[in-house]
Amino acid sequence: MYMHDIWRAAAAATLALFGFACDAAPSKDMLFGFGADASAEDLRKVDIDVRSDGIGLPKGAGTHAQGRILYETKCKSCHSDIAKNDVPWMPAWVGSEPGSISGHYPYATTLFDYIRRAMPMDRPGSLTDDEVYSALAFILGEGGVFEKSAELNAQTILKVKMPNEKNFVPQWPPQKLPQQHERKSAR
Amino acid sequence: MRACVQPFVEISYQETDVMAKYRSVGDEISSRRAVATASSFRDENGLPAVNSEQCECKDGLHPSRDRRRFLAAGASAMTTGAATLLSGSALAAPPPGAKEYPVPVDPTKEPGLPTEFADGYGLRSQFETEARWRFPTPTVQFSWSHTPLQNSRGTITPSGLHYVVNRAGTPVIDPQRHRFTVHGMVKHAKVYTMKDLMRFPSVTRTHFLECAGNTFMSIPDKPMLPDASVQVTHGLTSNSEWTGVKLSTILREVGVEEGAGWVLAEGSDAAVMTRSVPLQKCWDDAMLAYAQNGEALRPEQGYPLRLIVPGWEGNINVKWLRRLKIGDKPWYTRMETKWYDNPMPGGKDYLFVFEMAAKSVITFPSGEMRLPMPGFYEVTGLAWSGAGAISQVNVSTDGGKTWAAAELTKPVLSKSHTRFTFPWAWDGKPAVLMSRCKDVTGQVQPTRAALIAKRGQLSSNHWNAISAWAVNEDGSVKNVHA
Repeated sequence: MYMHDIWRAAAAATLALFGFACDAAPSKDMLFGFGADASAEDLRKVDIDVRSDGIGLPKGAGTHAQGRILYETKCKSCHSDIAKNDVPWMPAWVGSEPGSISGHYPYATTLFDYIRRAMPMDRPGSLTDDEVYSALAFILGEGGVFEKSAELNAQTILKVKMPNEKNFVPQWPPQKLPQQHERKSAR
Repeated sequence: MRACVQPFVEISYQETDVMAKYRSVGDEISSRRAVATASSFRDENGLPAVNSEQCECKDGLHPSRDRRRFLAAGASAMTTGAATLLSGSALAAPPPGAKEYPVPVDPTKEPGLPTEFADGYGLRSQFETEARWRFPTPTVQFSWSHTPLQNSRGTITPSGLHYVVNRAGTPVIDPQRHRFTVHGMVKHAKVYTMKDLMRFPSVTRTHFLECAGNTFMSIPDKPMLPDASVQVTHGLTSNSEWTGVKLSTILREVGVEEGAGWVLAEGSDAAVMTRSVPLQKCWDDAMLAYAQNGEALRPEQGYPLRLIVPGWEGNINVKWLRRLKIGDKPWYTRMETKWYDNPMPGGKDYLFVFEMAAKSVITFPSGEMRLPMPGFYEVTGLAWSGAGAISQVNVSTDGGKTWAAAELTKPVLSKSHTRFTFPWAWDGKPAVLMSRCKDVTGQVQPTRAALIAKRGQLSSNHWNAISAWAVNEDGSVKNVHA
């Protein structure tokens, strides 16, 4: 039958098409396309990191005086009264000695990033950006690395020179890589 | 009103400070130390009993476990003649992960427990008490807990005994609500559900993890804790079979842009912990693990998703992974500039020291143990290297004067714990046991002196020197420097 043959040919063609698709064995190196494209809103919720060159710093500002008040209310219960330095586990925390915050860290941006994401320990991530700038202005001011009268913000924080920065020596990349890996190298 | 959290812990790398801060730990260990009692090595019926209940620090067993058996022995004496030696009430709470059942005099004369007595998820024997030991930091959220290596067998660490280091406690995460985001210098920023990730081709690989600070208490010239067990000295390393997606699979999906060189890995815990990972390693062998030893990750191991960076320091294997951001430079996060930096003699401070060096330790006999009598013992331990597979382990019983090859338990896997064994006949005289390993790249575990010459004693991290156990004439085993 004429019509019958047409349908058979169409069916055969379809089969050939699908058969071809099935013959191309799926590979572990193919692209799969699982997951959803990240929206700006998706990223806004989690993109909180601040880099040592200042990328990621938010707007906002704070001063040593504001930070002192904040320290009294939200930090002191764990980090001790700095005048007394009465928490033995936190020696020289807010000073300028080696091992203190101002005496150790290479970049003030690291402190902004960490305080914002993880402090205070009983209510992590609860500080506003202004409060984080304030707390850091207080810490750096007490450490003698930032003017107590100045305002700490996304611009001034990059001018903070940490005295210990020169002593840090990155060990990556190693001088002699054991082997250069190709992008698709399997083990 | 919100309860005040306890002070945060900061470890200074001044050696003397560390010693002072952790003196309390030494006191705790000392008080736990069992006092040896004379033993005839015969039980009350005159039968040979090397594992006599009379000796608290006997052959290979941890005092805490033996103490419990002591209790059991006392209870059995009181109930002689009864059909059941012990009732649940005769003992204190059962060990974690176990339930207390009556013990029949003769298990062949009574029906056993129902086949599914544990509601479908097995319990361990009520006589097994191995447990992690938490370092007594002032906060229970920021703390670390050691694997009991002294009674470890084979190479796989049971998931429930895998060491833990937490910055802000273990978060409770619903996998249905967990999202994993990859963005930054990529062509297609993506958000994945756990189900999405599980659709990708999977890999299963066995790898050790080791905290960079493992064995830090052995760095000072005098062992900080001479009575410590190997759990205390070396227990921040464990070994698991991990299953997940190769990170390179995901990197291909998102399309990494030219010029990228680093990846920020971020956890979903209360510390929202971050580390910068070189992109090269991510292409090479890093993986996104959702399973450990055949089942989903344990909560304290990063459930539902963690980064596995084979052979690299534990902290970079970020748990509760919620985000990767691709960038061109490292971030200098708190973890990499404060906790996992490596202060050197002369004032320099090395950053981004990732790979765990070749290291081994004898797990039997080891600290807190006591050899009951001269005779044959199988010395055994673990060796591992972040650079590849272990190729050789040597053992010395004379403090490093002479060395002999130990046998490696096969298969020997890359960047994985390797079990070694060594037959030893103890003559009853003082002996000093040591092990040293070599890996396939030719790296040899250094002596204390060589390692100190290379890196000093300021850094608490990446200490991989040969360690020694002294066996005294009375059979007691101590942590010594040799």
